[in-house]
Amino acid sequence: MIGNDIIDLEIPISPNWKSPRYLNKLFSSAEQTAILDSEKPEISLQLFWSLKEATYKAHQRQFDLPRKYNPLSFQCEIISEEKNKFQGIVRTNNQSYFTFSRITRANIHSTATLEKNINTSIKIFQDEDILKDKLFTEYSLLLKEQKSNLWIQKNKQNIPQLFSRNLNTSQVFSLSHHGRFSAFAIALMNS
Amino acid sequence: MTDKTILEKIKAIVTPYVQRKEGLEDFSDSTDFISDLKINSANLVDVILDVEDEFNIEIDNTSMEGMLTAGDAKRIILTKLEN
Repeated sequence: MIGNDIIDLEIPISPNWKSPRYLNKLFSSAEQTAILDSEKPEISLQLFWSLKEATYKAHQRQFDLPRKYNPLSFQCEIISEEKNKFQGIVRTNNQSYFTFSRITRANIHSTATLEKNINTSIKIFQDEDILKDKLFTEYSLLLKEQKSNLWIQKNKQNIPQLFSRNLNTSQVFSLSHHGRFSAFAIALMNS
Repeated sequence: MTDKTILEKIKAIVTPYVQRKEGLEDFSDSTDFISDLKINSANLVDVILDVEDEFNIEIDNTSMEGMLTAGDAKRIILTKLEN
């Protein structure tokens, strides 16, 4: 199972971000310490937020959950950091998700997966309009199926899934967009 | 405070964060902050802080979990105002 989140760093973060009232609604005390003690607290805050968002999406897809605004239910920890790449673990309800993030000057992108070693395809674009077309192109290659035979349908929790006319498959993916950027993350699953 | 006044105040609070302004035209209980108004999920907490300040209440984490529509927010505000 997979979820992803993109953050455009050109969009300013909340002016409230330093206030304990703001931080206490989003982050545990351990997370707040990690954020505020880091070299660039504003970037760390957005990195942790993207971990929660990506994991929320993966968790919602895994258990077919109704929507909720519960950022405190996701506890993030960065376990390794190399240049601009970060690996982490996010825990929620006795479930752990593995995260992989990349920070550039322009954006932060995080992916969360339930399985540790899973084949993923993650792509970031500078345009939101082309996102779905790019997703169909990717699946067309992966499933060896014509693009015109693929479609997206939302389930009752509003989670989109991809179906194919000729293959008995439903593929789960995650889309994200923010400001100038959009992204998809897919994990190829057995039908 | 009437339901209508509360709803109007909620509308005023969310307006600066709304990315889909058409969503404000028929603002009602069923207006969804994320899907109808396209408020960024990172800004929902700002909305909640503004609601706390406007109504002088504290929104606990359990209430926050269910604040997805204007109607949800209204019900939470009404409950907190009664206590």
